[in-house]
Amino acid sequence: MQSETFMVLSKCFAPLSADSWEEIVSCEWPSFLEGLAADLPHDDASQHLLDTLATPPCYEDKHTFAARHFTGGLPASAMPIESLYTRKMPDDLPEYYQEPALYMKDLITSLGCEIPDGFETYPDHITLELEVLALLLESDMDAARDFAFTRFNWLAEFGGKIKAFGAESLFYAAAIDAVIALIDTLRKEK
Amino acid sequence: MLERNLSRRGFLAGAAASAAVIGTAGYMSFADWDVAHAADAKSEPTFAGHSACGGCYSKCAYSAYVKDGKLNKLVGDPEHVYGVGKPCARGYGWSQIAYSENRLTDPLKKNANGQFEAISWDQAISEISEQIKEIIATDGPQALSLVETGSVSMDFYVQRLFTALGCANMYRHGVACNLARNSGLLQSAGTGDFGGDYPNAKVIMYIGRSFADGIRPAYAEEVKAAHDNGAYMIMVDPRYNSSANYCDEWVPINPGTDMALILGMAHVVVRDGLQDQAFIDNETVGFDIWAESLKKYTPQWAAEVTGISAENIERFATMMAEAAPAAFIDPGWRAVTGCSYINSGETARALACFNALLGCYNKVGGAMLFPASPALAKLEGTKFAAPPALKEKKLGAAEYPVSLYSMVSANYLMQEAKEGKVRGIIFCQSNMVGGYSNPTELENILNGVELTVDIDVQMTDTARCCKYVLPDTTFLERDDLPWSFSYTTPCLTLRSKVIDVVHPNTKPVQDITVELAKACGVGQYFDFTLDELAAAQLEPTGVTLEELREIGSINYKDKGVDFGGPIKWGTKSGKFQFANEEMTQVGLTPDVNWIPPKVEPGEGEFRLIGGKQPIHSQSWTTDILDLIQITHDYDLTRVWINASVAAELGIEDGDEVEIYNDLNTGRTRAKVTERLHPSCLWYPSPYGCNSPDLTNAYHVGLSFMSFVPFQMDPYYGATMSQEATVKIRKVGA
Repeated sequence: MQSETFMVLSKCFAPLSADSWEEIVSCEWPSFLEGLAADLPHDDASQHLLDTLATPPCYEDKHTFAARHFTGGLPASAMPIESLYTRKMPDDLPEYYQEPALYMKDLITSLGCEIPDGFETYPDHITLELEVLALLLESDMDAARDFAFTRFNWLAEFGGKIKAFGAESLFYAAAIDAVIALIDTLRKEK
Repeated sequence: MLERNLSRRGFLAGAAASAAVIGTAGYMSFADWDVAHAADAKSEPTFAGHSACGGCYSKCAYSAYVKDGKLNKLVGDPEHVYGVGKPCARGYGWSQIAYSENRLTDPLKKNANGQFEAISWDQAISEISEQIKEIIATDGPQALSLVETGSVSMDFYVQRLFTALGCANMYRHGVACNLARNSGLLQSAGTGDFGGDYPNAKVIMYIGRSFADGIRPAYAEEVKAAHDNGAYMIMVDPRYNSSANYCDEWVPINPGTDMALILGMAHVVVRDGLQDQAFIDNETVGFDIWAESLKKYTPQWAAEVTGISAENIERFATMMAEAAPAAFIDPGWRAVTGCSYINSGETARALACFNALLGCYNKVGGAMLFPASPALAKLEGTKFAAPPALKEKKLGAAEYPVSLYSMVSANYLMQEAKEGKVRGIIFCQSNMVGGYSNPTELENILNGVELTVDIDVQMTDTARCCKYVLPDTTFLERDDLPWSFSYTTPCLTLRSKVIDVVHPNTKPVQDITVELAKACGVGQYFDFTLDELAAAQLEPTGVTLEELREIGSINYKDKGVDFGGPIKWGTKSGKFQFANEEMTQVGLTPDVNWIPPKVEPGEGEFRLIGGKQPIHSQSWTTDILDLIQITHDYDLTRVWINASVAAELGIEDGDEVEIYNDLNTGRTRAKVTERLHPSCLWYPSPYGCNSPDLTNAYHVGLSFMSFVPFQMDPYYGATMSQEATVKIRKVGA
């Protein structure tokens, strides 16, 4: 399974400037799609994901979607941060900076990395979690599997929230479903 | 979040952002981390500093402790004279706002479809300041306004901004809180507030005040002390409230007639010569005028109006006079005297006058005028140069000349906005739409105002109506300016930052204000850091900023009330004023005379009265999950209805009922009780949030103010929150 696939998927939810996003779309997207196609099972569901992801949004559309949904405190908010979805106990509050964030902070540090500026409270942001997975896939397959199987159970709920936004969310919903499908493939390869 | 260029492969930086090094570094599974972390979890949290609760205006101080950089424990600071070391439920609950899922994280602007979208700070500041400058250039600074309810630094910074802009229109929440009370007290006693020497009192009468449901832990402590020391306490309230358990008598008065009770009692005192004539002769003016007026307010007259027997009115009056000066009527807060009735302000004046008859001011066991607050520096010098003094008064000051200036009616502002005289309003942590008056009317008015901005941590009903919303940090994430205030003793307190900023794109209100000021061309009045300003302010106190940050609060116990000492009245006459000619400006008599409530329930109608619950600070806290869960667990959104009345209407306890009037219809469940006067229904005030962003509060309970018309009392401008009637019926009947 290709690390680059997850690295590109991580950028779909990242707060990138216009230049950075356009560079990814123009330079990395074709190979991303090839790698994704190779790693996903060969079925209709995968083809549907590939078809949806074939046309990434332009920067303006990505920016607008993030401005409406990847910002907090709105009914249309769907912050891509694990702490808001993962509960240790059923009665736990959906709050920022819960156990997933504390774990990711310690993990990123133990891997010799730094928490990027702006992510201090969000080390469990999907972008960072996918980057860590990408890095682990390159270096330590066992670690990568362990991380993949324990860290992304929240994506189903997050994906459901995204899908509720209708047509504008199809790309992002597909990106989430792609992650889930890739992890499922990893699980079956084990 | 802030967008950024990604010049390297990913966001993770550092030597190990590459596979080779990661392979040699330690991957830690969640399971292993969890075991290691569980061991850490047993360790004690670390002291992070002194904060001051942002759950209401009392700002009770506490020591904050953190673990993993996250707030973990609060321990009240006993030196704080309001908090007395015991944070209330809201204090604990409101601290959860820091990590709340529903917090605002970015500046927002409403798009053409009425939906909010995140924008950059540069865009927000630029657009808002351009509009401010245009409004000033076209219609002058008085076409702007500010409504705030905030922290100390917020007060200083936003008020300085508006002063620098030349705008006097700065308002607070008093219109729906204690505007009438504070104004009435000011016009009689020369001060907007007073307290009491509760622990030493022999008789205390509470009028529409439930301290157990109210805001300050200090009050609860004092009343407990009064109870333990054998004070006889009388609770006058249409409802047997949460505090009545401490009291010796519950007096279920006809709502809105408390003034008549006081007048009847005052009649008895003067009739029988029980007043403290020496105090009256030395310390007051206008007694003879009031004494003449009191002749008509016999106990029999008062009984007819209040529903309290003449015998009891005589008994209360005599009991208090005989216990004087260790007896007083508590000044209340919001309900009866604060803003509820057309006669609220005059009721406040009446009770202040009754206390003067007892001669109990600054006597052991009596009413207590608060000592002076610790003096802070006046800020001379270029660095802290104040903007030029304002040339005009705020809108409403001329119309309400006897109101406490700092509390002049925000409802009047909205009336002016409706008429197009105000084109821009900035709100700071003020949920005006949620609680000051009728929400529908306020929302309609705001929707017609060109520039509306709200600085807040959550998307309140008010924020939702604005065109721009700017995300403040929570109080836990920022330093503040020193707060000098006084209760029974003077106090100095300092709120310090105790956790790191949670959302990187939020800014503390002082920083937002400074950016706006610079963009509006008045940045020169903010040429200092918060710490420089705080240190300068503290200079006269002999306490350094570092020292105050270390200890949090100082209670100047040796500077409390000088019982029996001379009183410096803050009135124009220099005396307590039983009669005050200024009152004629608003159509009142110089002395206090009876004013009946504005509305009376007709056939099948009930007066809707309300009140607080100890777990909520109006609408402020209702989105805190732990606090709203208490609401759900104890079914606290029920409407109270008198048992006899309920029986007549076929309503049983727990039935679903509909409350309705011309303004609103709402369904809730009934609490059938003996604990309520039959002429009214009681409903708690914090609920009915209409902001879907506040997912925990949204549509929980009914909005009390949605049944109340947009109105102002003609004397002080208060919102008259209990001058509304409703009907009730069982659903499905």
